[in-house]
Amino acid sequence: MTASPIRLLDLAPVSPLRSQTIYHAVGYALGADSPDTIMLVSPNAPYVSIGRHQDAAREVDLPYCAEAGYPVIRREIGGGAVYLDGNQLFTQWIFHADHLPATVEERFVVYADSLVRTYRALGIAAEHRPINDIHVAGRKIGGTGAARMDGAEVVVGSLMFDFDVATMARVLKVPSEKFRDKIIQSLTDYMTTMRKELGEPPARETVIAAYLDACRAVLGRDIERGELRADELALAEKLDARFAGREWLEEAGGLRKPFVKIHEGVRVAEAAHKAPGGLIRCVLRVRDGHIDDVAFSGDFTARPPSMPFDLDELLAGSEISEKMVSEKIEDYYRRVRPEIPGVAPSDWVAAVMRAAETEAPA
Amino acid sequence: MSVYRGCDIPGDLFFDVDRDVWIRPAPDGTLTLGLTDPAQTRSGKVLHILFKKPGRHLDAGQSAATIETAKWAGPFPTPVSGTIAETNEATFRADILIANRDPYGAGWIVRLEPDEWAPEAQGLVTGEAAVQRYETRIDELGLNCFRCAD
Repeated sequence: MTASPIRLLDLAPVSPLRSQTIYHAVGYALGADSPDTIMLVSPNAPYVSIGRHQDAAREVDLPYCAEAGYPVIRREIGGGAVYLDGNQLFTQWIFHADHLPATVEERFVVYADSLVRTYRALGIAAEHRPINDIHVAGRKIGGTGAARMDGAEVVVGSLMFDFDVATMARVLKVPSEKFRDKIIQSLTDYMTTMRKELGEPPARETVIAAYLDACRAVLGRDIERGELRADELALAEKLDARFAGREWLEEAGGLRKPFVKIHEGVRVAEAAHKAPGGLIRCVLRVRDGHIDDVAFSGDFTARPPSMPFDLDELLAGSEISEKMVSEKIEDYYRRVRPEIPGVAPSDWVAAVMRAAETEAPA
Repeated sequence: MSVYRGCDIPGDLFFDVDRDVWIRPAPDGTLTLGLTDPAQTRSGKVLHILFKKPGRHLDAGQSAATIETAKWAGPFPTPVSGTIAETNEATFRADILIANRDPYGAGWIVRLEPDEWAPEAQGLVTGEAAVQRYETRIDELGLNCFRCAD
């Protein structure tokens, strides 16, 4: 660790492209004599940021983004696709690797603490939910991520003034409109912002002052306003060209996440199971190992016609285990005796379990 | 094998301690490279890995692969210059956590044909010297290793 002051770069709003390339440039330009840097920046227009290894065409509705004028920009930070605009203040730490805790998890403890303290100073009861989420009463307020860039360890996140849930759901490539509805509903239920918590978000200067106080407290170091160096700007210009290029956007990804993570404990996933009597589609919202919400659809013929909706209600709240789900569905078949040729209880179970299997490694 | 604060440091390998990379020379002159136990502990469970293609020449310090864990992304730098002879892509495709489970065995990352092999001159350490360097490093970092796949 070190006692030297941290440079603060509090930038005016920049283009979507530059809002990504600038922290990469400061990271890659970090030399032995460079200061650790905290950068604050917002984009001056909306865009979509995708994770380091995501396949843009599979994750994002590229034709829609092109039509709406939203650039799609790959970052070197991992994670998922996210819609970003001027309602988020990005808080980027670009530090010498040995000036931050050794493990990624420990780094997030310090980084998250700075955001939690900021929100609390603003009257929002935020908490760190390990590994890297910030929650307010079970709702996530912003995301965080980390990456290594040569000698720099970079941790990024944001202070959420507001978040456009509908556009976020619209820019994603999803298997069905039902899935998209579930994303909107889940983001509404499980995400929050300063606007939601306070009615009106505080002024940017107020939030920045609280944030800098919080950073001083958690890092135990002075923070001094500074400027970008010429070499950092030059590198950002080079990276602008690379990050705007098709080659970078279309770089072989292959990391297909057949689910959308709302926050650490909540995911929405969809899977299909081919039963002899038709295809069963299952859109599943999983919360902490339980079925939070489920919706079946498909090309089967059922009597009573309410059967898929009955099963939706029946399974809500159930633990995700083959045994539990199976018992509930078999009980329904015994009680209601549905007429649904070629679709057995085991087919519904298979659809649910396939959707549930799309959980990511934590 | 030396174990310090839960971190395995095999004495028969060469290490670039700063880059947290191990190297095993083979009789045919190629080098096998991988993540150390401290490295897999620090980065967490691997979620995805993107390899540079065999045949690609790399200078020392250049990335042979990019690794994304659940919460972090970063390069896998080669300590020595050379040409990629083989990647372990097939194994990672079957088990993405293999470097977390078995960092010094099945979880190797790439095999390299080095431009030259002069470990001391290339800043690499082995045996007792490597163990001592790592013990100091692990203390400095306050690190306790665990296999992130468990």
